[in-house]
Amino acid sequence: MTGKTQMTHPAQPVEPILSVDGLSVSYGSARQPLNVVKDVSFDVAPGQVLGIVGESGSGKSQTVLAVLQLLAEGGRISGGQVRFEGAELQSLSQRRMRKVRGQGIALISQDALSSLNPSMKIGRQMAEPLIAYDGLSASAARKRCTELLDLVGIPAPAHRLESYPHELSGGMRQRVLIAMAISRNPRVLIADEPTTALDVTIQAQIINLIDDLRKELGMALVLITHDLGVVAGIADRISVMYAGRIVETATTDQIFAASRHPYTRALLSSIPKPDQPRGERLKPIPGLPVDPREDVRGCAFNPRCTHALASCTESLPAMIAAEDDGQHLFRCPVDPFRLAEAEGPRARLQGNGGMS
Amino acid sequence: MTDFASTTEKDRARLLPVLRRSLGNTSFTIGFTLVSIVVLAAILADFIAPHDPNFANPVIRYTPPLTDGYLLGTDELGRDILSRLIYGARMALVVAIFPTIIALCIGGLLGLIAGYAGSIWDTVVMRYFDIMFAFPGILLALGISAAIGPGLNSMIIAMVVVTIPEFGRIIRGVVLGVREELFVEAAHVLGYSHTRILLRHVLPNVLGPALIYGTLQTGRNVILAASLSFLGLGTQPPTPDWGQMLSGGRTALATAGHVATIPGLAIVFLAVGFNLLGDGIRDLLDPRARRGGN
Amino acid sequence: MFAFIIRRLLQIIPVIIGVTIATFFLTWLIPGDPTNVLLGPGASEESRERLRDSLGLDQSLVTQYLIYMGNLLTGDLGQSISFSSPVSEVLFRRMGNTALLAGAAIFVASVAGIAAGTWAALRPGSFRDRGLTIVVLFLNSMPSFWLGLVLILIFGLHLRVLPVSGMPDPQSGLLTLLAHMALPTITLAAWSLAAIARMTRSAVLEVINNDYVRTARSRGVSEARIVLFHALPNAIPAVLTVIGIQMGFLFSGAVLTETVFSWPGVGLAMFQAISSRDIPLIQGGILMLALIFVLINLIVDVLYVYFNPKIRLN
Repeated sequence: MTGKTQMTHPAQPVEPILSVDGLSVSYGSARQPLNVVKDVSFDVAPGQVLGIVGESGSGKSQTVLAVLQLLAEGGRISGGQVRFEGAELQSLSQRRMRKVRGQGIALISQDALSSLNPSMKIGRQMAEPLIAYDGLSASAARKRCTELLDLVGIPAPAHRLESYPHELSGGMRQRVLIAMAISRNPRVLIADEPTTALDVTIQAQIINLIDDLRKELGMALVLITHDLGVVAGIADRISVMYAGRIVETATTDQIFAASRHPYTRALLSSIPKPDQPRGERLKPIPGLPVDPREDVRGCAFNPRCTHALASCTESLPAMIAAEDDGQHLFRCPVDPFRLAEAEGPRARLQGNGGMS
Repeated sequence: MTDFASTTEKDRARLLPVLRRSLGNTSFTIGFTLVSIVVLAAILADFIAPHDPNFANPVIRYTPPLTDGYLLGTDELGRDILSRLIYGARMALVVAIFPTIIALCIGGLLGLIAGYAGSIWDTVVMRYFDIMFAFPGILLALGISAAIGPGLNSMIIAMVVVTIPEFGRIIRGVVLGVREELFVEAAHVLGYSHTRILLRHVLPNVLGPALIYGTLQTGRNVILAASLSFLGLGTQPPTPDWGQMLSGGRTALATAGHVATIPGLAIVFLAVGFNLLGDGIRDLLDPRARRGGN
Repeated sequence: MFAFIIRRLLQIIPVIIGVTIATFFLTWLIPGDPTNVLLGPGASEESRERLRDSLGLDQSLVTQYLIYMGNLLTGDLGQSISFSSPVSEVLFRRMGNTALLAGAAIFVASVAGIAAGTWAALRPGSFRDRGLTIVVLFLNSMPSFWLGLVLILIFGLHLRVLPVSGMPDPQSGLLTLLAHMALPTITLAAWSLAAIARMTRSAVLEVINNDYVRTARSRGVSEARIVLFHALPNAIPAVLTVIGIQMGFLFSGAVLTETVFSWPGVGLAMFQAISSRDIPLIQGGILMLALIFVLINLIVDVLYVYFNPKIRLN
């Protein structure tokens, strides 16, 4: 059971601009498929920020690549639906998909160095679709690109148009990617780990930049990261992914104050806090992430879960809604009080525990 | 490249699964079959050839194929083409495999020295290779063969000289790679002698590439030798030789095309065999090398 | 950039010298009395003496080599026995014809090879890709002279659509020239086509799924633009190297092709030289072709660096 049946709840009357329903992505042959994304559902309302959080290998990048039909060779959508502004995307031809990419939904990739063509000047890469598809003249495109580079905070933008990617610093390259993503005025912006390859000092800058741009241009934002702290400040809702599935979806406050899935809780408690008493050890999550090639029966987090019930190995827990909020969805049968108890008094006092 | 451990008895027990994997690889199987057919033809020539390959009967020259008693017809001197083809397999194999083995040994040794000893030895050997590589294709082989004088020996010498740099460069590359490995450094630190390191660590890693490129080069040798023979530089008549048969059939191309085209098919057959065999071996030893072509 | 060119030029000087030493050695390889081969067995004792003197055949190897080099630098490559004229004259007169054929062949091989390789790379593992692999396999396993003979058989003798030998007079016009060039060009191009197609496929495959290609796709850029402006330009440097190497092989392959098609170039001259054991001509031909090969490789190296901004700006 997915969260779809809850969507008629009066608290969310607005039609989502991007809607993913039961999406599954597989690689390999039909006989021996490698399922990297399993039955994933989420909605993004216009202008809203959705954070997708998970470890590497949890399938978060694959999910958004599937939305844009940009899966690598051998990958395919093996189930589910993707709807953008009401229209179905997953079955669109590549030709139709091209109209959506860049103009409807834009993607900011992870590694800015490898995401830019090393033998093309920045200006040329940026302007390419503007000239080829949006009908801008070379000089108009130049002007627009200069504006965009300025918007993302790159100094001497006109000069920068003539640079090659390897001549820029990591932070600047990421800004260029951001500028490229917003260049065709998309309605939805997907940022896939935009700060992972950057210095910590620059990470906050980039996240704030993305958020500012989003507000200014009225875009919806899907922010993918492995770091809960990164989304804490700007996300409206957060979906937590583990081993290809969504294990919890809720508002940011709910995630930080009252999460219902052991994995989410473990992620929260593993974040080092500045007010942590000295000598207190960090709390990593025991065990290793799941190998995506294994298809596990039951809950995938089970081996590392401190609250596992017998039923957790038998069958996959269904997605259920919290008693107090039909929009708070999670896949765990464990009683919330048991969750809080196990972590001790600090957990019960947990407020907005995340970093911003 | 592959990481062979030092060979032990364990490896002999691994033979069966290796066989199974080899047979599962299409390139290997087809290549092996093709080459085996030619080898068998060469070995059993006396038994399966219908006629004496050198018996010239000008009365029946240029008989077309599928004639009674002459399955592939006769050549410009009335000799049975099928028999010449079968006996010619011997020369084709000798002239393809022999130079490979010799060049592999000499070139391999040079590559080993250049890669392992480094510095001045490396420079000298690489300089020599660079000069050899400056001569494209068959030119140098042609020159050497012509200078010494046409004949089987001069052709083999020419082919060896020309293929030594190929092998030398590859082996040197492998040796350079292995030399960087930590376990070699560790061996040095432990006081192993150079000989021991060479034998137990470097050599096993060289065997794989040597086998792969040796097989592929053998395929190229088939064509190289045929080319030299075609130009008149290889074995001299009346020894049956595919390249020479091709050259002999040129004049009557219009009226008796089979004389020239059929030996060519045999050459292609054997060359394809060695190429597939080499590709198959490379697949088996290092599947990653295949990804993305080559 | 300029410094790079100078450095490469200096690097090839020892190679050039080595090449001259190697070709010089060919005379040394001749068994028996070299004057037999150089002048023919019927030559008089007088002319033999004269030759021995001028080449220093009685003196040390080093002296002989220096004499040889000295001659080279003045453009004297010796006297051709079979053509009864200076080797340099024979070669230079025919060089143009061979260059014409080689130029056409590399053009055909490059265009067809790059197109085929790209086409296959766009759908790896598919029918067309495997088809290309098989075609490449056969082209690589075929002696070029056999291919030439088969083409002559099919197109010249049975279908009778193309001429099969010789090079026409300039007066006959362009069309006749192209008709005569068609079969030899295809024959000469075959091997190189296979190598270029294979390398192109490999290079495009490496590039086509790169992250930056994905970035362009994510912005709505069409597949066609991606292949033309993103994939190919980054794949070209590798292909260029192969083309350069193949050009050298073309000059040596010309010996076989020109023989089969009676095309009056350096290659045919070499064949005639082999038949008549005309060592000076063989020597001269090899030397010339090797030097051209070295030069071509130098140009390819320079072009490679030029097209690669990363290397250039460093």
